[in-house]
Amino acid sequence: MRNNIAKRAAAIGWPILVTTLILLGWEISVRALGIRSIILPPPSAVFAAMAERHDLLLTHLWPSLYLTVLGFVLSVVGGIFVAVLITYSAIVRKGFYPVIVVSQVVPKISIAPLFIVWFGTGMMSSLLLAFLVAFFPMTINAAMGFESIDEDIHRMARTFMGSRWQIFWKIRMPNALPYIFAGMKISITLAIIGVIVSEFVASQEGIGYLIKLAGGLLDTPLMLAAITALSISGLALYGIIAGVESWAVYWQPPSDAVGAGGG
Amino acid sequence: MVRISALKKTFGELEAIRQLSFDVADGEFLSVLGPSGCGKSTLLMMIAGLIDPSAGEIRIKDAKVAGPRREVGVVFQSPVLLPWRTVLQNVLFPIELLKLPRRQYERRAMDLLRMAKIDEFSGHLPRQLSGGMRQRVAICRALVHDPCILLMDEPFSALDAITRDEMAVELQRIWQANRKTVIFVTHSIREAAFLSDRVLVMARRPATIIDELPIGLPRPRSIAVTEDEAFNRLVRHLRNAIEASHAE
Repeated sequence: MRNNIAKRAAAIGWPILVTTLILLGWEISVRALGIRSIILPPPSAVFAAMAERHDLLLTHLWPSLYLTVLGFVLSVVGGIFVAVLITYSAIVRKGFYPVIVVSQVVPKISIAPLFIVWFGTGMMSSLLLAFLVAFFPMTINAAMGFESIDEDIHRMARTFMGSRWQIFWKIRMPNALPYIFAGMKISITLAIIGVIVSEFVASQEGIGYLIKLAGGLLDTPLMLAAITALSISGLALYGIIAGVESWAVYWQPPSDAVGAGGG
Repeated sequence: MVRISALKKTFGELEAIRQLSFDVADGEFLSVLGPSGCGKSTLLMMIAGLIDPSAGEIRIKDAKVAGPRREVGVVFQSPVLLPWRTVLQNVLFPIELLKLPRRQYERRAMDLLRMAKIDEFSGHLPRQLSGGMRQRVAICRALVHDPCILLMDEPFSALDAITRDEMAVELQRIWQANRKTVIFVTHSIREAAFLSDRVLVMARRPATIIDELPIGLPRPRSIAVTEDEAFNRLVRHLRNAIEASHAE
């Protein structure tokens, strides 16, 4: 028990120590070398900017996070739905699935300007881009989870006269859960990227817009403050998913990660 | 109880089973002994209703088998437990699939677990159990809906030799307490001789029965029985039958 606590403390302690050393090194070298704040502000200036202008940061952070989460949720629901179709429909599996896979060679981010043309500079473009980039890893992971059931488990269920419906809910779904969470963890980070890029291209609000604006004004501390706020938010979203995962996938030891990347 | 007549199974060109006919009596423990890949698993899957025969028929209690049936419980080579379910939930899985009243069968499940000496692990997850314990859970699961026939497909083949002997003794005990008709497929001569009332010896592809040997050893049999001369005579007989089929 005590050993466990020590291990966990070390797991958290070491990265914190390294981060602190990096920030300290950054602070000292920026001051010692007299680098101008426009080029690279010291961490203290970034934190000061965060504290001073938290109102501005939050105003722009909320719409971005809102669209990220919404796009993510849509990609999860849509991805699972399409994965079910892939599992149960031969037409979708043989016809559409390969097309979906091959279409991934298109860097989805490059479609952002096209979305602006189609859907305007508002929230719709950001939402759709977030959905688009997050959708694929979700689908492929869920489909993998639904299909990766052991042939013997399938047989066992059939000898007890399990229906297709029962086999889906009682076997395929729980079996796919670890894969679905692996997909979610990839999708949430991609959804953030989708929203930010869309805001870079054309938008009047959002953290991506703020980063671009601060860059234009050569307000580097504000830019880094915005990036920091965004990173913390992304980390928090990822942490929430990982937390729900360890609760929902209680039967799996934490080291047994599954799933495939994408995006 | 089970009647198999002129059963035949071909997979394309491959003749897996040729003209198989035998009966299994009510409450009998029958082993089907044969080398790996001789089609004995295919036979079992056909009795379970998971595979259709190419010709001939299987009757259980005088009804023709045309798909999985309630009267049958199957134990596979691997335990195939669901990792997200506790031991008790795994044992009750057939009850859920068959839509039987859970309350009523929960007691039966616990009784079975007690009989298999794993009742204290009823709340554990499969990954917390040893291989032998997992297979015990699988046996309890196959028995929970009170089938009259238990089909076992080399259930102990993944276990180490010592655990195997233990499990054979346990299985005998469980069988004596429940008196199911058992069809036990194995490639272990000792296991077949130790457990069965009767052993059918199958030849390699195409599978046919080349020998039939009643085992008259008194029950309950302890593992010490395997050192008796009578037991070893039976083992020798079975081994000779298998070797003769290889020589052909």
